[in-house]
Formats: sequence, structure tokens, C-alpha cells
Amino acid sequence: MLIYIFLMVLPMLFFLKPKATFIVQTFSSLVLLFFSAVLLLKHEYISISMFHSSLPYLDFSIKLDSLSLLFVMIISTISLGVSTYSLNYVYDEDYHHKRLFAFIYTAFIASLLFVVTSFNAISFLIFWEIMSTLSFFLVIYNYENEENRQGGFLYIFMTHLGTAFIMVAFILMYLKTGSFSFENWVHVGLDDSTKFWVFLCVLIGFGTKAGMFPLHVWLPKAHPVAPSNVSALMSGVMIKTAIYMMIRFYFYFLSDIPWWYGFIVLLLGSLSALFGVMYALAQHDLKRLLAYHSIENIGIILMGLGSAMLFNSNHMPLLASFGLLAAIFHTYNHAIFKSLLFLGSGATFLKTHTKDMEKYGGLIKLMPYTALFFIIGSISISALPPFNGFVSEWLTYQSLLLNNKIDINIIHIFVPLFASMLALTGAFAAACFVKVIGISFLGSPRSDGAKNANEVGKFMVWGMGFLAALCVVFGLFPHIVIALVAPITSLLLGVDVSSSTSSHLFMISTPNFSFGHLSTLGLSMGFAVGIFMLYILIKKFGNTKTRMCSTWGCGQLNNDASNQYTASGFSQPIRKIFAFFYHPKEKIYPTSRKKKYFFPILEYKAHSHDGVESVYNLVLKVFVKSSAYLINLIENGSIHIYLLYILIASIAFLVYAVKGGIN
Amino acid sequence: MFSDFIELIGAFVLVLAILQITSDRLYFSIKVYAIQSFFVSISILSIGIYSSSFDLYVSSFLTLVIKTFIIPYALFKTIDEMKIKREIKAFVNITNSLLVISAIIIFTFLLTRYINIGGSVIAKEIFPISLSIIFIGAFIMVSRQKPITQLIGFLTLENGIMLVATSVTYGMPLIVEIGIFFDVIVGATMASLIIHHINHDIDDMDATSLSDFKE
Repeated sequence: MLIYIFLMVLPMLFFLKPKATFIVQTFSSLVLLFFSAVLLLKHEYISISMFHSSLPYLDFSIKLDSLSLLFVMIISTISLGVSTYSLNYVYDEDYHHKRLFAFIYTAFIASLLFVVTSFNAISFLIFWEIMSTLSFFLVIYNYENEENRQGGFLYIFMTHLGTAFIMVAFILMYLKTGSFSFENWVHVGLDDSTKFWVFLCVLIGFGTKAGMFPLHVWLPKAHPVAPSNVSALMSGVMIKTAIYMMIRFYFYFLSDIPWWYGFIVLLLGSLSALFGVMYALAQHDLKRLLAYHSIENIGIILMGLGSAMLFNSNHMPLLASFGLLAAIFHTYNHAIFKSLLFLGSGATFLKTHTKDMEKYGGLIKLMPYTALFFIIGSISISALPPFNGFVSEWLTYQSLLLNNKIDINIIHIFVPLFASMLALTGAFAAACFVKVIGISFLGSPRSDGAKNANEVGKFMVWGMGFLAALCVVFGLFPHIVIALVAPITSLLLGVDVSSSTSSHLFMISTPNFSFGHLSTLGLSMGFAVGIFMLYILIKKFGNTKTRMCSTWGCGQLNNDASNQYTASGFSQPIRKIFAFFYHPKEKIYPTSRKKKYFFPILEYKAHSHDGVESVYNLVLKVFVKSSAYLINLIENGSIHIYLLYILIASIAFLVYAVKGGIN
Repeated sequence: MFSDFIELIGAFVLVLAILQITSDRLYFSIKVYAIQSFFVSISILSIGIYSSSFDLYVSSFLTLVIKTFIIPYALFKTIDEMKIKREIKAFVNITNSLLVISAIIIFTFLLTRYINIGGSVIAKEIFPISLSIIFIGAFIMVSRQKPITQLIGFLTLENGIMLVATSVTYGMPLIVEIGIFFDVIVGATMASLIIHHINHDIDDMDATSLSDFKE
């Protein structure tokens, strides 16, 4: 156990030598990953009360049960890949104050690990705040840019708003149980109103961190401006800690929840998924696009979670475990492929010096490894077989369809709707990544930066390669993850999910076998055979004459790169169809005033608004204005007025005390 | 009989506090304060004789020395250096101030009718009297612009606290009283120093100008 804690904080000691920090972080993550997997599979859980302070309520205790262990695994997996990547990235990107960066980076990872292992509300909150603050510092690391500062401030504001709700939830639990230790919160019986408030505060508090639909505004602003390895960690892991706590609360602490709690989670999840992916489609800043995809994937995870909650409230533990499996599987997968994609975007950014996709093009020839890994990540995130994203989205989908077994009318009406929303989301995601791959990696370079790009350093390739390999492995052998999730379901629901889903080798199935089953390995083998046959057929009978023309060139030999299909052009039909949703602003204007009539050089700009964001802006504007006015009114700087406040307050207290005396 | 005497003394203190409100001359205000403190010290002394407690003798003596002589002397010196003799611009003028404090006095007497003080009470009516004095002191602090007048308001308020502490019950522990004396001395000294400096540096003896320093 002490080894665990030692491993968590070890890399922080090396911060004076940034390179050594990243190496040590890599190795400690590897060891942590290995140990956690072993402990998880051997069902050995450790708990330790580290430190009882003399302050009331403040004691640090750590427990590694199956849920914590799995999240430790997720964190160390991602940290392994990202730290390897950072070995090159931080030096190539040439950040100033590398020691500071290394220290914050490792401390951030350590705080993540402590968040998921803390077993006491107070220590959890302390590490949670450390995590939020450190990630804030990482977001504003390049503080010279106005955009970074704005994103950072929005982030720290929203995250503290969330923490306030989390505190309320904890205090409510404390009032009912009289203890801050998570041990005493397990399946605590609460009265209905308290249960509802705890549910709501947890949903809002952790939903803010996770980037759930109406609370997501900080995410597309903060994630893109952070250094790429940090965005990989934030998007891949940090927002998952919120999912971790949601699972803890909804399946471990609260018991006998009404069915509509799950329905709310399901609804918000489906809205997040659809909303995230539709805005992602309209972006042409690569990292912002990925940030919107994080919202989408959090939505999918919440859908799995919501359907599991529905089953759980209707006392169907087997199906609930299936839904939970879908949610946790997707959590793991999203962590892997999203950090892979962020690392890939970091690599392209490093070499082309721009985040704008419109300026990329033809990178597949110049950065073959990066492109390969990026494509693997894209296929995973678009939920296409045979990679891991497909498996978990299939599970989510099945679990949604199985929701029909619950005998409540509203669910019967809405569940097919949610399932079709999920399908639509998948389709949009695929379209979005066709755009990303097509525009940035295919075609010919659109700018000098893209023309002069070359392959990134070997550690960066290894880091991305490791994550890409995991995408493939988890896709082809989903049993690995199911075996890891099984202890969690037996802890939370008392049912071992692996026995019902993976009874057949190389095939996963829904709990009642007839409903659906899936073997990605068989699928991909069949696919490979099919492709091979097709290839043979084409070779034999087809027209194999090779023509040279550029991609997106519509068959014309055209040497001008600006004539290619653009990212804005690709998404234009969807922007037009859903104009009520995007409120797009499109404008064509000449770049120079002089050549207004004779061969003007025109520039086209399309910009879509985030509707939710403008609502936030409005509310904030009114709030800030009125509060500033109030503050000005109250704190007007005159000593006499302050004295008057004291006088009035003391008179009021006197009256209050006398009134109490009369009664 | 004895409680009547104490209440008479208390009434003098209250009248002096009202007189304090009506004064717009700084010399006069300080003289009123000195006399008021003298009455407070008499009140403490008589309770000391009545209950034959040594602590109250000490505190009466300290009141006499510090509040009747030392603090007024220091304030006189400050005023001499400042060369400002009058409170000119009060936020609330004297007539309205009188109306307000008469309302305050009625209010406190009304309020304290509902309060039952446990234990042995020497003079019950002292309680609303001294509460009124406290509020009058606070009102002076709120409504007057010159820092020196505000300081006098604070000292009046403190006299009220002293009166209620000694006369309603048999006084506070000596150590607490000495602490309060110490506070008052330090407060007065600090205030006169600061007033002196404000006067010296800004050439305007007006607390409203302090708000210019606000961010």
C-alpha cells in the first residue's frame, strides 16, 4: 500500500530535471498499471487510514476497491502514453520554465490518482481542489495569449461552481450519516427529499466537471488552449474522475433510487452527445473539435450510466451490470482514444504551427506514423469496427434497447428515441472524422507550415503508438476489459457481468443471448477476408489502370492547393440544414478595398454560435452588472456608512434578542 | 434608595450625552466628555462603597485619572495643533439629531421593558439609560464628519458600556476593565496621532476625504 502512495508522488521529486521527471512518471505509471490490474483480477482490496489530524473531521484515508483500482488503471494507462510523448513534446515545443511545467504536470497526475482513491469526503475535496487548481495553471500555461487567460478564467469559475454543489451534496450526506468517511455512506437509507437533493447536487457538481450538456461551456474554451499533452490528460482522464464519483454516488451510496433519476441522466446524456457532436462538426480548429467530441463521449457514457440506473431502480441487477459495463468500458475507451487524438493534434500543431484545419493538408505523406495513429483513433471515436469505440458503443446501444424490458410507459416511448439519437451521434461523429482525416491528412498542403512538416520525435511516436495499440487490443479482445469491470459490478450490484456476457470465447453477448452478440475478432477477420477477395476480384477483372490526380480534386489535375475541398465546405450542408441550431454567420468579403471590382480577392468566413454559451453570457452579464451595482451601493467607501451598518446591525440584534426573550 | 442615587447619576450621564450631540464646538465637547467621565467614575465609586469591593475602587480611580484628565488633555493638545475649533458640516444637523436621539431613547426604554436581567440588580433603570448612551455615541460616530468628533462619539459609547457593566451588576473582573482602559488609551492616542497626520498631510480634517483612497 505504501508502495502505491510512494509511486504516486515519486515523480514529483524529480522536478528539477524535467526529462527525468517524465521518465520516472512513465515507469511509475507502468508499475501502477500492472499492480492495479493484478490486484483487480485477484480481488484484493486494500484500505489504509493514512493520517488523522488534530483538526476535527480532517483525516486522510485511502481505499483501493475495484472501482478505484479500475480508475487508477485508466489514469496510469493514459499517463504512461502521455508522459512518454511529453519527453519529446515539451522540448520540441520549447515551453519556458520546463521545471515548473514538469512539477505541475506530475503533481496533477498524482492529484488525479489521489482523487480516485480517497475514501473520505474531506480529503477527497482537498485533492479535488488541488486537481482543479493545477489544471487551471496548466490551461493558462501560455498565459501571454488572451484566449488562454479567458479560457482559464471561465474554467476556474465553472469548476468552483461545481465544487460548491459537490460540497452541498457531501454536507447533506454528512447530516444524514454523521460521518465524512465514505465507508459509512455505503447504501445509506435517505428520505426521498434528501435523496433528490443529493442526486441533483451530484449531477450538477460533477456534471460541470464532466462537461455535461448545459454546463459544458468551459470545456471547448479551456481544453484547446492547454498544451496538447495536458489537454490529453484533462480530456482523457480529469473529466472521468467526475464519472467515477457519479458511479460511486448513484450505485454505491444511494440506494433504492426512483426510476426517473436514471431517466434524467439518460436524457442529459443523449442531449450532450447530440449537442457535442453537432458543434464538433462545425469546428475547424482541430483541438476545439476534439473538445466538443469530449462532450459527445461524456454524453454516451452518461447514457450507459442512465440506462444502468434505470435497470437498477427496477431491480434488474444483471441488466444493470450490463449497462454499467457499457458506461465504464466507454470511459476507458474514450480516455484512450481521446488522449491519442489530442496527442496527434499536438503533433500536427507542433509541426505546422497552426490549429486551424484549413491550413493542413497532405500530412499523411509527411508524418506517416502520426497519421496512422490518428486514423486509428478516429476510427475508434467514430464507433466503427473493429476498434474499441465500436465495442463500447455497441454495448451502450444494446443496453438502451434492453431498457424496453422495463414496464414503464414513458421509457417505452423515449428509449427508441434515445437509441436513435445515439445512432445519429455515431453517424455525425463518423462524418466529422471523415472531415478531419480528409482535410488535414489527405490532399495537398494548404500552407507553408503544412508543406514543411516532418515526422515527430520517436518518443512522441511511441507514446501515441502505445495508445493506438490499446485501441486495437481492446477492440479485438474486449474480454480483457470485461474481466476488469466484472469485480466492479459484483461490488456495486452483486452480479458478475463477465459470466453472462463473455461465456463464449471471442464473442460478447447481451445477458439474454438471443438479443444480440458480437465478436469483433470474427468481424475483422471476415472483413479482412472480404477485402482480400475484393482485391483479388479487382485485380482479376477490374480496371486497374492507375490515374494520377489529387485528392478532393474531382478527377481534375489541379495544382492549386486552395482549390481543394475545405473543412468549412465539408460541413456546409449540415450547417444549412440545421441552421436553426447553429445560427451560422457566413460572410464573403474582399480582403483588400482597392480591388473591389476587378478580380477581387475574396475571403469566406463561416462562424457558428454556441447557443448555450450566449445564454450563459446573458445571465452572467446581468448578474455581474447587478452585483457590481449592489457592491458599489453597499461598499461606497464612506466610513460613516460603514459605522451606520454596525449601528443598524447591533440594534437589529438587540430587537431580535428581546423578541426571543418575549416568546 | 441607593438605586435611586445610582439612577440619578446615570441620568446625569445621559443628559451629558445629549448635550454632547448639541455641541458644535470641539472644546466644549471635550469638556462635556470630561464631566461625563467624572460622573461615571462617581457612579462606580458609590457602587464600590455599597458593595465594598476593592476592584471597583481601582476602576473608579482609573476612570477618573484616564478619562477625566489624561484623554481630554491629549485631545485639547490635538485641537490646539489642528487649529480647528468647530464641527461645521455634520451629516445630520443638531435639530434633527435631537429628534433622532429622542427616538432612540424612547426606543431603548420601550425595548428594555421586555428584558429581565437575572441575578441581583442594583439599579434597573440604568440599563436603558446606558443603552441609550451607547446608541447616542454610535450615532455621533455616524453623523459627524470630523474624525475628532467621531473619536468623542466612540469615547461616549465606551462610557455607556462602562456604566452598564458596573452599575447593573457588580462590575466586570478587574483584568477585563483594565484591558478596556488600555484599549481606550491606545485608541485615543492612535486616533489623535492619525488625525494629526491626516491634518498634516492632506490639509483637510475631514473623514469623508478618506473615501478618496478607496480603490
